[in-house]
Amino acid sequence: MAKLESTLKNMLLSLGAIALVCGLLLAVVNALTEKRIAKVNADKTSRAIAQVLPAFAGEPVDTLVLLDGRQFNVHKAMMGDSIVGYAVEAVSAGFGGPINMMVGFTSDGEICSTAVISHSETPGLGAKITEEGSHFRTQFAHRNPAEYRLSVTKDGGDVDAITASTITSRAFTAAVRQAYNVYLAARGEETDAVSSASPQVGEGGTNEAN
Amino acid sequence: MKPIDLIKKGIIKDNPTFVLVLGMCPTLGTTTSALNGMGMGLATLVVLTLSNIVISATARFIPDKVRIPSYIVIISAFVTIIQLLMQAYLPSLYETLGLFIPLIVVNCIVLGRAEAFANKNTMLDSACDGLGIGLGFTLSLTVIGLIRELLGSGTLFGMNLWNGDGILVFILAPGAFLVLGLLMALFNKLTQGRI
Repeated sequence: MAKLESTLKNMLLSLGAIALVCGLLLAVVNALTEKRIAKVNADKTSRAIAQVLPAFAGEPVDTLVLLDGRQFNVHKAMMGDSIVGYAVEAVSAGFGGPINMMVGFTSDGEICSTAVISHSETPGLGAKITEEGSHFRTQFAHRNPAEYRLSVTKDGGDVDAITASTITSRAFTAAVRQAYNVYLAARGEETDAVSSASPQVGEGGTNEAN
Repeated sequence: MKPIDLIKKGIIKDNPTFVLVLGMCPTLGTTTSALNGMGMGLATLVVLTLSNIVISATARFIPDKVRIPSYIVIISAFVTIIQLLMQAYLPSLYETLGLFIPLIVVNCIVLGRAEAFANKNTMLDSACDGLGIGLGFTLSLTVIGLIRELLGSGTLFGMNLWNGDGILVFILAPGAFLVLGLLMALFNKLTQGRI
């Protein structure tokens, strides 16, 4: 079985054929797993929402909030007609990579709870942010960022950092702070929309007519 | 060589970690716990065996001058398939190994076996070689992970053995080098003169 000679035609044909077959194979596997991967990710998000908010009914309402030129996912949870709270997705740069978080706020502005969706912090050090029930995690619960300074004690705030993981603790706290700002913006937008609803309709109408 | 000897050879004589010293990046990077090491080893085993089989079957249709890009395309296709399947069916393992899965493509073990073995041997032999080397890699990574996890966080496959912290350095990068070096010395001592 002599090997194919390395002529231009042979090289083009064989490498082209291999690339084509591999491409087709990947397309098939992608089509087969796409739905499931989307479901796994959606499950992860809804689990995180349930974890950071008090009990609510039905599906949370998802909205996009624009703050400082970035988009944030905000999930508003309802119980009957009243708002139970907002779960805000936030991200910040940790020690090993981005820390993706979900932060829940009750309707009166308190942090309800936090959840880490994904992170790449050092196991045994920064990875302690995932330990539910640890002092670092529980210190955020039921605090109102309006009076609770969201930065680590080293930086003059009220948050006790994890020993030997200041960078991770800073990033975690920054994500909570960011989530709070998004939460304020999300709540602000809604009250704005209600209070200035009627003049906006009039303006919009004339603009559209022009 | 008989298939069983090929498999044994991959575990002992050609052990990728302690003898060939290949694929050090995932070896040092993923072995913070026994489970992570084992997951990485098994993912590599699957990719290695499949790519060995396919490369052995197609080697004579691949002209010499484009063999490396051809192998890489085949290997990366398998890695991407494993990655997608893992994401869909083993999301928790995918989360811990995340970044290292795509890096299997550039693991020298996989390309090394394609170049050194699969492209001049039969499909069955190549499959056994991939299986053996893959098992050797998996066992080595599991042992390194086991020791690092035990000393570093005081757990065994995630089970808490004692309360409190372990010796932190074993979880960090220096601990990976220390454990790997000591195990390599031990491996050489035990197999001295016999392989």
